[in-house]
Amino acid sequence: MIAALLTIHLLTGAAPADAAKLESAGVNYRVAVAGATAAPWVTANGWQYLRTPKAKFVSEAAGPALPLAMAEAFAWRGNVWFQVSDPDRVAYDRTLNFLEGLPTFDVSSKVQVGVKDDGSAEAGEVLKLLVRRNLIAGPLAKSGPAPAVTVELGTPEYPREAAQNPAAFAAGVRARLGDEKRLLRIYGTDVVIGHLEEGGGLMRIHLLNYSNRDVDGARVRVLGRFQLRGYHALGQPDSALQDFAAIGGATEFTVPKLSRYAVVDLAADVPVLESRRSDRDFELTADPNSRQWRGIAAVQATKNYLGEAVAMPASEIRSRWTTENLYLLFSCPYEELNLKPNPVVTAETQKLWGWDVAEAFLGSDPEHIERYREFQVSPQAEWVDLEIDRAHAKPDGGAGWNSGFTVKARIDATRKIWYGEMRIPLAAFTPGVGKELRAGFFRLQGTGPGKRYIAWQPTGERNFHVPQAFGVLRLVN
Amino acid sequence: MQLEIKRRALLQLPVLLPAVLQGREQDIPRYKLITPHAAKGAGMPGLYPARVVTVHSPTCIDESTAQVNQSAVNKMMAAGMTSLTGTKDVRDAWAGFFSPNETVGIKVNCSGAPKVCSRPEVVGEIVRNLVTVGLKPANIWIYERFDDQLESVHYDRFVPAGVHIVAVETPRKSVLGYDPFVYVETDFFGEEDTRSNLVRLVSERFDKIINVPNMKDHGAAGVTGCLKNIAYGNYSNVARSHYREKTNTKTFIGTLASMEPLRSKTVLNVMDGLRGVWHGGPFVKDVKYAFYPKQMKFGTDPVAMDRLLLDVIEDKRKAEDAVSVWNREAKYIGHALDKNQNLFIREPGHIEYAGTLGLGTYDVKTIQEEVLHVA
Repeated sequence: MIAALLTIHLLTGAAPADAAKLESAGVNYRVAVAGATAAPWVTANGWQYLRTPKAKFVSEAAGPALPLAMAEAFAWRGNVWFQVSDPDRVAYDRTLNFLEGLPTFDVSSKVQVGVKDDGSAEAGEVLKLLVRRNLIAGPLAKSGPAPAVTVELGTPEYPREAAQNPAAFAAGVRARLGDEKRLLRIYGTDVVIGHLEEGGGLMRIHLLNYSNRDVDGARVRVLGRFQLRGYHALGQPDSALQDFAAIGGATEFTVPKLSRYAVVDLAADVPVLESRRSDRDFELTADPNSRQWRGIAAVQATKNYLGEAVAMPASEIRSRWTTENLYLLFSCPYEELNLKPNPVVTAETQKLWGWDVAEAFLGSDPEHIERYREFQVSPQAEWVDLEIDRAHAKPDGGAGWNSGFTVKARIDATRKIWYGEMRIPLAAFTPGVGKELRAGFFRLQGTGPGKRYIAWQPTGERNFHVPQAFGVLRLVN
Repeated sequence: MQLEIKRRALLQLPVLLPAVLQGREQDIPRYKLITPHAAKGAGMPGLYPARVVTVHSPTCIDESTAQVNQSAVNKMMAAGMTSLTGTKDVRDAWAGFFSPNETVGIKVNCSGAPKVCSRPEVVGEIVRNLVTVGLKPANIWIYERFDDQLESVHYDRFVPAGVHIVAVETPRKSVLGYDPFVYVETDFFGEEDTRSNLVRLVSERFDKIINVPNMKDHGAAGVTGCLKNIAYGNYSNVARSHYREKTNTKTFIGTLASMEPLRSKTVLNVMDGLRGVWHGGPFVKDVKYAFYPKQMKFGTDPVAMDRLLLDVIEDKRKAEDAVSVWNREAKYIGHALDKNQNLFIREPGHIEYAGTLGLGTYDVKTIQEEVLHVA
C-alpha cells in the first residue's frame, strides 16, 4: 500500500540523450502585451508529465524557479533530471528533503476533464491550458471510470479550430463542467495551480505558486467532505491551514501563505460513533438492556469490507467511557457460529481471528494513522490485543503488547445473537490522543464460503487493515 | 443562509439616456449571497429612511490651499447630527446611534488620497463625538482596503491614541483580512475567482459602522457616495466587475451593500463634501477636476443621500459643459483626461437599483432633505 512517489533525479553527468528540455516554470505577466484574458501567463510543465509519464526531461531551472520545478516534477510525477549549479545546491537539497519527508500514500492522479490525446500540438495546448486553469485535466485513460467531461478534438462539441484559442476553449470546458461541480477551485490568486491525487479514502492536493512572490492567502475548495490529515508547506514548517470547514458537499480551507509549494492531505469525512461518558466504571454485562447500556445509541455495520450489503441483520456497536476506561459493546447477529474448541479465557488467544470474533481497531497516534491498537473478543469471551504499525510492522505482529483490557461475552442462542463487551484502559493509548480516536469496527462470522467479513466502514479492500477508511470514535459527555 | 438572485429584468432607465437605449433588456448577473448572518437592528435604510440633512458652510475649506477649517467642520457636524435626530444636544444625537460598550468601524474612502478622501478633520470629529458618548478609543476602528492610500492621509494625527487605523488588504491582494464564510459569488466575465468576500472586521468585530464617503464622480459607477463606499470598500476582488467599457456596478454595488451583516451594521452615513471630484474619479490627479461643494450630508438612508449626490455632480458637470454621467455613447469612451471622455460606460443607475433591494428611497420627490447653513 505504501509506495514511494519520488521520481526526481539529480543529474551528475549528462542527461539522457532522449531527455526533453523543459521551460522554466513561472509567471510572465507580459505587461503591455495584449492577451485573450487578464490572467497572467503561467509557464507550467505538469501537463507534459501527465501526457507522457514515461518521458524523460531535463530542467535547468535555477534560483527561485528551482524549488518550483522540483515540486512540479514531484506533484505530477515527472522524470526530470535537474542540472543544479553550486549556488543552488542548498535550495535543491532543502527541497529534496522536504519532498522526501512527505508522507507517502498509494494515490494516483485525479482527472475530471479527460482529453483524448491524438498526439497533436493542439491537443497538447488544450491539455496545457486546462491544467493551468485548475480544471483537473489529464489524458483520457483507456480504462477506469469516465471523467466528468471528455474532450475530443475534431468532434462537433470540440472542433479542432476551436483549439486555436485555448483560453476560450478552456472557458467552454469550464462552462460545460459547471463551477459547482469542479473538483478544485482556488480563490484569491491566479498564479496557483493545483493537482489532485486520490486513493484509499485520501485526497492529496498539491498547490504550486508560480509567481516570484508569496501568495498571502489562497482559499481552496475541493469537492467532497473531508477531514484534514496533514498540511506541509515548503519552507514553512510551522504553518497551519485556516478556516477549515466542510460546507455543503465541499471542503474549504485557507492557505495563509504559499511561498512555492504546499501539500494538503485530506481524508474522506467519516461517520462517528459517539461514546457517552459514564460517571463511574461498571461491571461488564454484555447486555444492551443493562442499566449502563440502556438508551445508548449504536452504530450499525451492515456491509462487508468491500461495501457490499450483508444479507443478515445489522451488527451494532455501542460505546461508553470513564476517566479510566473505554467500553465497547458489540451486538452480533449470526447464522451459525464458528467457535474455537476448548476456549481459553484466562489468557490471550493468538490468532483468534481464525474464528468468530468482533474487532475494534482504535487509532493511537493522530499524526500517524497507520499506528493503531486492535482488540478482539469472541462469543466465548476469548480475547487478544495487538499493537499495529502498518508502516513498520512489529516482529510478532504486535502480539507482545498488552493493554490490560478485559472482556465479557454472552450468546443468546434463541435469538441467534451474541454479545461481546470490552473494557479498555485509556492508558493503552498515546497520552494526549484527545477525545477522538480513529476507529474501525469489524466482525468475522461463519466459515467456508459463507464466511462474512462485516465492517462498520467498508475498507474497499479484502482486508480490514486500511486505516484510511476508519471512522471516528468520539468521547462525549 | 444562502440567497440567490437570478432574474432578467426590463429596467427602468432614466430619461436622460439616449432614446435608442431606452427599454433595453439587460442581463443581471446571477448573484449568490453566502452568509450565516441574519438581519439585526436598524441598518440601511436605518432610523431615518428617506431623510437627508445637508449642511453648507462657506468657510469649511479654503479653496486656494485646500486647508480645512476644523471649527467649521465641527459646527457642520453638530448641526447635521442634531437636525437628523431631532435632538438639541449633540451628545444625545450620537448616543441615539452608539453605546459606550460597542465597537464601531469607520469606513473612510481613500481612493484618490491624500488629495481626495474622507478628510481627517471630518473623521477626527466623528471620533471625538464617539468618545464623548463613552466609546473607548480602542473600540474605534478607522479602516480602508488598501494601506498605501490609507497611510497617506495620516488620520492618526487627528484622533486620540488607541484608535485603530487599519488597512484590510495588506499586502495588496491578500485575502486574509476577508471573511471566507461571507461572500457574494458571481461570474461576470469568465474570471476564475468568482468570489468577493466581506471584510472580516465587519463580520467579526464591529457592532456598528459609520460610512464616510467623499463626493466624487466615478468612472464606473457614475458617482461614488454612500453605496459605492460601503459596498466596494468592504469586499475583496471587486474590480473584476469592470472589463473594457463594460461595468457591472449597476447591480453589484447594491447587492454587496445589501448583504448581512454589512447592511444591518451600517447605521450612519456622513458624506464629506468639503472638496470633491466632478470628473475622473476616483483617482484623478488633475486638480482642475476638483471642486468645492463645501457641504456635508447626514443620514441613514444611503440611497436617498446618493440620489442627492447625483444632482451635485451632475450640476457641476453641466456648469463645466461636460457630458452627463448618464451618457452611454461610445464616442465618449476613452481616457478620462478629457472631461468628456471616460473609461467605462457609467452606471449611475446603481442607486435606483439599490433602492429596489430595499436599501433606501430613490424617488427625489419622496426624499426629505433639510438644508442648513452654518458660518
